[in-house]
Amino acid sequence: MDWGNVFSQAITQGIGIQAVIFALAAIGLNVQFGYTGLLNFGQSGFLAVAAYGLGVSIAMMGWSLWVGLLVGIAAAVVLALLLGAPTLRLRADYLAIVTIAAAEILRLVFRSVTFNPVFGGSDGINRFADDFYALNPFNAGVKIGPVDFSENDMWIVTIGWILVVVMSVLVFLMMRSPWGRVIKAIREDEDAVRSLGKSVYAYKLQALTIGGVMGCFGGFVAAIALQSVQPDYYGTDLTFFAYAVLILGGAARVLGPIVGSVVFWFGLVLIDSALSNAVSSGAITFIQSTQVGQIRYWILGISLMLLMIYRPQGILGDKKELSLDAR
Amino acid sequence: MPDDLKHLVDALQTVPQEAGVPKPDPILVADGVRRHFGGLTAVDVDHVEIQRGTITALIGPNGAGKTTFFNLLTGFDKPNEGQWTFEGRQLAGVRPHKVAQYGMVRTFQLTKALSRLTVMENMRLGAQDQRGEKLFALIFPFLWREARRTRSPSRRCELLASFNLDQKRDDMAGSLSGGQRKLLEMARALMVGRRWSCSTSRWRA
Repeated sequence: MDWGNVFSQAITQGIGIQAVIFALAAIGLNVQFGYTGLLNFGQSGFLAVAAYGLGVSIAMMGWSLWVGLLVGIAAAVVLALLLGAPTLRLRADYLAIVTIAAAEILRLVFRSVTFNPVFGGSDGINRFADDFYALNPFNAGVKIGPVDFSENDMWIVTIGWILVVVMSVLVFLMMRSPWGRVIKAIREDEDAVRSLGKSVYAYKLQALTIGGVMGCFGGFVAAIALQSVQPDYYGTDLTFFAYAVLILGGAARVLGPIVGSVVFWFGLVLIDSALSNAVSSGAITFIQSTQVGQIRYWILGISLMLLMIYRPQGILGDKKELSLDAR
Repeated sequence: MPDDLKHLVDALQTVPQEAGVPKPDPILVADGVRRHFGGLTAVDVDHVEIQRGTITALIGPNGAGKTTFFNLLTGFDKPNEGQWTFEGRQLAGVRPHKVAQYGMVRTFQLTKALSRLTVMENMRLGAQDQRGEKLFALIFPFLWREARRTRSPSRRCELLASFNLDQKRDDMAGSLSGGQRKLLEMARALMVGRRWSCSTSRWRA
């Protein structure tokens, strides 16, 4: 078995494109769920509207990359207001129901035959990010120790991690401010905050929008890195992986989404490549190479369950703080 | 009793002791407030006036509708009919946070301490008109730092001291005992308004 190759792949993916996408999605969820207590089960919808906003603007409308980014952000803001305005006055469950349904509706609209000329059906939109790669300052692939990126990957990963750092600094500043104090108080008990003269509804709408816009950058990174926007990438599992990442790292911690995403993708790829390596070298004979893809999710699921049982606060969380939740 | 408060009690000396009687200087006047849950009438108040500057208690057996009446007055629930004014301002249909901003602040029967915030953060949350709570000011600390520094901390500290919580100021509110949480909730409510606070609680023998 080639352990060097196994770890090389795992480390490369652990800091690679998927890790960046899910870190960004989880940072948005952290603002919504971790700090404000909003159950947004439609984070994939925010990534989808951003990615499609970008793709349609460039490929169909022929606008520039920058206009495409603005269209994507605007789409995420509109989506947040549409989802939040009718539901945030109601009990918390309604937001969860509406967001998960809306994300699925969006996915089905994007892949529908009716809108094929605009959204490209189930094939999506492809090859629209050449403008972005034209700006690439790296003219050769980068290989440092076990990490191995092509020049294009290196460029999008660099931009992606810069975005992750910028968003995390923003979250840190926001949550340190009096605004963040109100936000955290709403998570604890929104009636109490209402009784202290704060418009809880406005704060929740702001948090939903900010989290959606932060998450939508994950959609940009995904669209540009893969040079394609495909509807089925933005299914419910994207949302639930993002939740797994957030809870793994530790909710309501600024660095939680980053640590969670790196550990999640490192672990997933480690299991995957270790298993397929073991199968192909004959060390494991009772499974076939085609079954590895399913089995890695079993192992991942079991690990997440064990994590919830033995460390429910996540990697960075504080167990004492979690136990205060019981009122 | 301090002498400067004596006039408040004296003012009530001449008031006859019967339900719905007019008070000499009412801060709150409610008329015809009714709330039905299906066929059940939970609250049916013809007329009530609350005197300014005093502590007024509303008593009754379990299920009499005391808490529902508080919910109605503070905007947390909507009555089927009725009007009430607080300091002459119509409050029917006003949203709860606005009611609090106008100076009528409630606490809750089941104490709502904000567990994972410190005692001091709980108190800070009570203060009104904080620039740093605005979304667009939040990433520019220089806009709100100044305001926070000039805002006198003495009121917070005074209140905490008078409620015997000043030793606990940096503890998480969730780590306080039940009684201390109730005290914190009262102190926090007093940070909001200086005019009137109404609290609903069940006393155990």
